[in-house]
Amino acid sequence: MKTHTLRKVEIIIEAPILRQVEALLAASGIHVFTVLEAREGRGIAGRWNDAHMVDGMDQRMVVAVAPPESVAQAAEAIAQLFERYPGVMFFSDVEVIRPERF
Amino acid sequence: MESILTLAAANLLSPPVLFFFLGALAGFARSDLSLPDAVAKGLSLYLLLAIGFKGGVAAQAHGLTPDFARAIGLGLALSLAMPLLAYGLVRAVAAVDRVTAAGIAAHYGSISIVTFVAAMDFAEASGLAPGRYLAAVAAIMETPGIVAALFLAARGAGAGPRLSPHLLRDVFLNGSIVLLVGAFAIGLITGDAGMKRLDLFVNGLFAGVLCLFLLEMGLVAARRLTGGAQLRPALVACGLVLPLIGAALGLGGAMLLQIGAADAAVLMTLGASASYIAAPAAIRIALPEADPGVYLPLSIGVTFPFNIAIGVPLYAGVAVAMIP
Repeated sequence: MKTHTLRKVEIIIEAPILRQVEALLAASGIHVFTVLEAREGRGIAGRWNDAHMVDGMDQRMVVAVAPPESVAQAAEAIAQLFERYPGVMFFSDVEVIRPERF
Repeated sequence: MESILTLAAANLLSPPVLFFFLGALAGFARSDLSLPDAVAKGLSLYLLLAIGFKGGVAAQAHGLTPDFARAIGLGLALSLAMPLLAYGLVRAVAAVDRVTAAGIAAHYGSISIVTFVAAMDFAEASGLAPGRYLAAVAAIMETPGIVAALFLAARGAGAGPRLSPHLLRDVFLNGSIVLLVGAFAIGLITGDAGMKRLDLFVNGLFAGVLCLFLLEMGLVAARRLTGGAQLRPALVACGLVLPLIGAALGLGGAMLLQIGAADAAVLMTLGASASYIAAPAAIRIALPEADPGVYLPLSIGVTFPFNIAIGVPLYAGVAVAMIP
């Protein structure tokens, strides 16, 4: 089976800035992504959880796979967002079988 | 005084408050008791729908009465006064930095809809008859305090452009406000005929859902206090004094505007309550530098339990004693 190498970016952010992150992805040509609810974890500020009704602290994970240049452009824009807002990003190379879907 | 103590005792032994304590105890004891996230959000939506709808039906039955208009005026005044007072108090007493103080101000300028529900429930159970149009006043009070607090933050040195149209849209279109106002409008449109069809849903199930929701709030309050809260004694004192200031302002305003004791009791509670849904979301967008380890435990872990356990009957008792 032939595979193609693309870049994957995983972004964990607080729910209120999800729309801003989505807009930055779109501006970088990334229109295909998945948003997951992050339940709980531990960061540099200690343990966090979804806190239920308290919308402001809900965490989301955005997963996108795209060509390397698009991911690099999105990463630069989102890094600027992280100068004010909490969040983390992870990058990795991934193999896909249908590159036209990204 | 005896009346206030009787009311307080009745409140402490009421099912909603006991369920709140159960949740808090379970949270502090690190029990694995928890409501699924979707259920907790669903309960919150139910309460907003029910209280908004009932308010709309009542407003349709009575129209824009002078009482309703005076309550709106007092509610707006409280929403604008409380952020200023909260900001000044936490800056002076607890030496909180300017941005976190603005975050706290937003929480105390806005209101807690569940505290409002508890106050309405308590007032009605105590034989008072507050106007159900107060749901509209609660909705009106959700946002002005947040905007006022953001103005306070923007005044600060080095503040960026924080009051963008995008942000204001997020503040005013917060889901809880949309549902509360929307349900109020539907109640207003459908009136008694609508109530006949929804009576079992919005009235019959209400007390049980409130208990379940307060169980969850107890868990959340305990989690907020044990999960990295940074509350110094001076801040805890602010979290206890601010609701008393809000209630006192509400009482003074009610006496000035000749608002009846039943409505005054609920308006005092609204003035005393602090937001934990609309304000946190707005503050995380507008003021990410404000410390959530301070404003969330203060609002959810200190002021909310104080109001639910002590404040609600205290304000009702004082309103009845002071307003003929």
